[in-house]
Amino acid sequence: MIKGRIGKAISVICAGALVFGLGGYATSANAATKKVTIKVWDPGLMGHLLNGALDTQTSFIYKAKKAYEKLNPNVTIEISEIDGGVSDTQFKAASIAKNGPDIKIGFAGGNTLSFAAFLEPLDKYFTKAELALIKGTGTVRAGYDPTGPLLAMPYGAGSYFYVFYDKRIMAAHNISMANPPKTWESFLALAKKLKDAGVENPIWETNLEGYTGAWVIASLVGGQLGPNAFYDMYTGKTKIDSAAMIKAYEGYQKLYTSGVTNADATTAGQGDRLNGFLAGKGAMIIDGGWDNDPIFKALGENAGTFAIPQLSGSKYPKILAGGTNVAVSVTKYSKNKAEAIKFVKYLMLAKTIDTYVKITQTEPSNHVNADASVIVNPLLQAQAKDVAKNPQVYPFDNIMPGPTNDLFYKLNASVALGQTTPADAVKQLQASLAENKQ
Amino acid sequence: MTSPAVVEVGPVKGPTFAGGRKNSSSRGSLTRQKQRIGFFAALPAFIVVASLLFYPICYAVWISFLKTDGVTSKFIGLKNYVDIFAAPLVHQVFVTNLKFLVAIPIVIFLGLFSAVLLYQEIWGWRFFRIIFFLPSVLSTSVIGLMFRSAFTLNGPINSALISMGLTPINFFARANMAIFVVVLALIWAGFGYAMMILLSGLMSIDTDLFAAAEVDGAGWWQRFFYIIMPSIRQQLAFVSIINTLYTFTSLFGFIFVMTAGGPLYSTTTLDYLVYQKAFSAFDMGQGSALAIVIFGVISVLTIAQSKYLKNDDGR
Amino acid sequence: MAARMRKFKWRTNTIVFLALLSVAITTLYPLFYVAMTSARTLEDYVKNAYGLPKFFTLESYRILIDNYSLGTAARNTVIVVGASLATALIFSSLAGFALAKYDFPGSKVINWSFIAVMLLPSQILIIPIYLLLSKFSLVGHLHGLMFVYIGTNIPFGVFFLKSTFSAVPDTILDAARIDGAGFFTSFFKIAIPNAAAGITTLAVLQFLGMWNELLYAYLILPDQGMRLLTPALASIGGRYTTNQPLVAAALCITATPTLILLAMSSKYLVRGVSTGIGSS
Repeated sequence: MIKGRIGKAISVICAGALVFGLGGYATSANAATKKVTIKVWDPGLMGHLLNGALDTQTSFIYKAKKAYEKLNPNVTIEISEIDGGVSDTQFKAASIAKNGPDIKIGFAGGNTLSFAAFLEPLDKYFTKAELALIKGTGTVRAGYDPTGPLLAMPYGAGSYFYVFYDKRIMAAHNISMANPPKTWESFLALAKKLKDAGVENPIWETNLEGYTGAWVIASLVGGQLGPNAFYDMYTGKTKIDSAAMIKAYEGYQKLYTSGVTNADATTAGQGDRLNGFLAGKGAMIIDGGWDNDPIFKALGENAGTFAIPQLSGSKYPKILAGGTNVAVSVTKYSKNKAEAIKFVKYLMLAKTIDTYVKITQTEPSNHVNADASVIVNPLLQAQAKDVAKNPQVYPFDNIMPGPTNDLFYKLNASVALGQTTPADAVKQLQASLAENKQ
Repeated sequence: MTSPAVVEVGPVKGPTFAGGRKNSSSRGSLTRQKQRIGFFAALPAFIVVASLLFYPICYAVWISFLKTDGVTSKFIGLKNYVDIFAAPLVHQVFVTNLKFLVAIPIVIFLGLFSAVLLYQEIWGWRFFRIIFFLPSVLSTSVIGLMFRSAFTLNGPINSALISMGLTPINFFARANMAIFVVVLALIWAGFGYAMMILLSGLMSIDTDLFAAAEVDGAGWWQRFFYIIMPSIRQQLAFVSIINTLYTFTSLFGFIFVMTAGGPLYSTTTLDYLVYQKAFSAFDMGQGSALAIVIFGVISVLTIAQSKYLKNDDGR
Repeated sequence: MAARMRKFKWRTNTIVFLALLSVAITTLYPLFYVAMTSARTLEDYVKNAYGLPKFFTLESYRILIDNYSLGTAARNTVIVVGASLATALIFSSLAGFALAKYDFPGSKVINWSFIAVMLLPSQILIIPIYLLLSKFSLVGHLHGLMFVYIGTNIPFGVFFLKSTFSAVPDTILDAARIDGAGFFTSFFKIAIPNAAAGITTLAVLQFLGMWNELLYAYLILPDQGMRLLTPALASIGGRYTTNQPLVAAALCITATPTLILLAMSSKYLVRGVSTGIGSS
């Protein structure tokens, strides 16, 4: 998964903060009548619209703010957009100084876990029944231990890794997509067929940063080992340096050695992925649900999608790779903890999450009582159906420590280039995890 | 080299303004009171810098002996340093950084070349003076993307190679080729900055010297070597020191856009490692230790450069 | 203006001019490209990123103006950059001149401490600087950021101006001293005019540095309402979209003031010469 902290210029290196003079210090019992300001830091995860800009009128978090302030006139929600490239550092510095936000919006998984020291465990504020309504809490528990402290509330069911294709190109070559490829091998065979039929780039690929690798490996390992594949590697129950990982890397490498991608697949960057596909440079791309909206906007009904298929003989042939992206946490040092938690509870209502899904159209709801009718994008509709009925595997880079992920991306790019062997790659990853696990 | 005027100011250790070394008469005339004025003039700057940076520097040095995530910490002595010297990745990245130093002499040469041309009022010099500095205004990501698209497999550079009957090169797939493109980008983006600084040095040359040299019949090269070069030695030293510093401390953002640091770590620079370690959840101490090691390396390079390029640094 | 060096011959002039022009084109092209991209729609950009747009639109600018309080951001930027730049320049000039021309006890220590500060990779100072400012309640205030900008720009400024002032001939300073000029007379009447080109250059460099600074601008001013211009616009692009026209529009907004300033300051660089000693 693309991590803002790496994807954005690292020259921007940085750290973070927040003002002392909070509106009020609601410690007394009559907090209800006292003015309270709750500070929310959002690295563009809830405040942006799909045009890429901060949108203070129609984006989700601003809508939620307005609605909540109306219900609770004594509360002011103050949202600050924190640059994705600097958000981690900024939060860390502010948390050490104890002047960070009351609520932090961030990435679920490893990113949230790395801030465990600063995040209020939320279990005690929610009843068992309330928690049972929310899916994906396993992604934000300390140490990925099902009984560990709940460091955040997962927000949304997440986006999953999919293949997108242009139906017109398939139709032009008399390829029926009524039954999309069921295995990784038949997916590559389909691409080969397109190539033979004269399609220059059956799969448009841009893997300079190694992100495609992250998605494909997540899928192909998940297919073999199941939903807990990477949790188990993290906790040491299984090893990264294993036959399943090697097999996945070998399958992934074939994507580049079969001659079905553009020639510069390994050196073109993430920025070209979507734009290249939309510009008609390829018949298919490997991507994720976050691009549903622009793909649908550009191709309309001509856009088709299917989940990254599994290696043949996989034990979990229908597993989906991906999962919770966004998590909402309350800081340990918040001076308005009670009020902050009230706002988080409001955010976790089925209705509020429905609003989120409706506005973003990038991921389904993770609430048991979600209203599926808010999904209007047909690509997301298809994905939501898959999510409802198939198992899911939480990806490698959502779980592992930051430095291991950085190495993972680099190795993915290098394996695609043929400069690192799969066996060597998994060995290096194993060593990196040992070195970087807290 | 003939002309008395030229010889008087010229040679590298000239006594007057070029080297800045004061002659004995001025030193002798400085009373203690004047020294005190000098001290007080420098004081405000020193106080501001010290009050901002004294604590942070002590903090950074202190945590380089700790294993810390910023909340809890454990004293581990020199272990962070030992780990750094033992890590093969640090060695590899260090060597990569040394390769990027290649850009510096080229930047200085081109900066000097264009500064002298502008100084001589080549056609359009007013225009070029602004234009060449423009890359410093552009963001690193724009520059990075520009070079990426120029050198990509289907980009204009490869099209040109093909039209010349050569085979296209996948520049970003091979370590040394990728470094070559990054160095090219560094040169393109950096020579205007060097030019600007060198030009400011040229501007303060006493123009009477040229008139005198002309009277004495000194040629272009003679004036270049005996008037221009000694006069801007300080600026040359400055440009070279600043560029070295930059190479070791702030390249990665630029590189990331072009190569993402790859293939593997072949275009990753030290500042990226410092960043990664300084902000990774529990390794702040190692980030500090690495920064201090880098500080040591740059210090040696800086002292060497100032010893070589000017004769009065550190006064 | 006295002859700097003999002018070039006609033919040399043409050849060199053409060579410089071709370099200039590579510099101007990205600017032109960014400006053009900022004025087209995303759909149009996606279809044909390198061609000319079908039609021009200011839609991207409208989105930015609607969603970012650019007026406040511009005002805050002018306050912070203006005050920091002026203070840093004054302090650096005084210190640079003193270190270049007054050999007082301790000058070596001061000079080397400025240099040493520049050599330390700044990433590791970020968190402690933040903690320091937090301790004095400077986080969330414009003057907290000014303090950081002044403190981090002075070492470079002193280092740069020390070399500039060193080039001022001792002979004139000595002459002035004999005529009874004190420190400040020498400083304002002789040193500053003679170093004008260098000071202007430094001002331009440091202005650019402060204007484009992101790290501390985010760090010290986390509240949306206090943002400076460049940081307010730098996080555009979001997590999932690469809306290049929007990114380009943001770049144009932040780069325009610097381009104007650059064009204006280049005149002063010339004046630095004409006031130079010996030219008449």
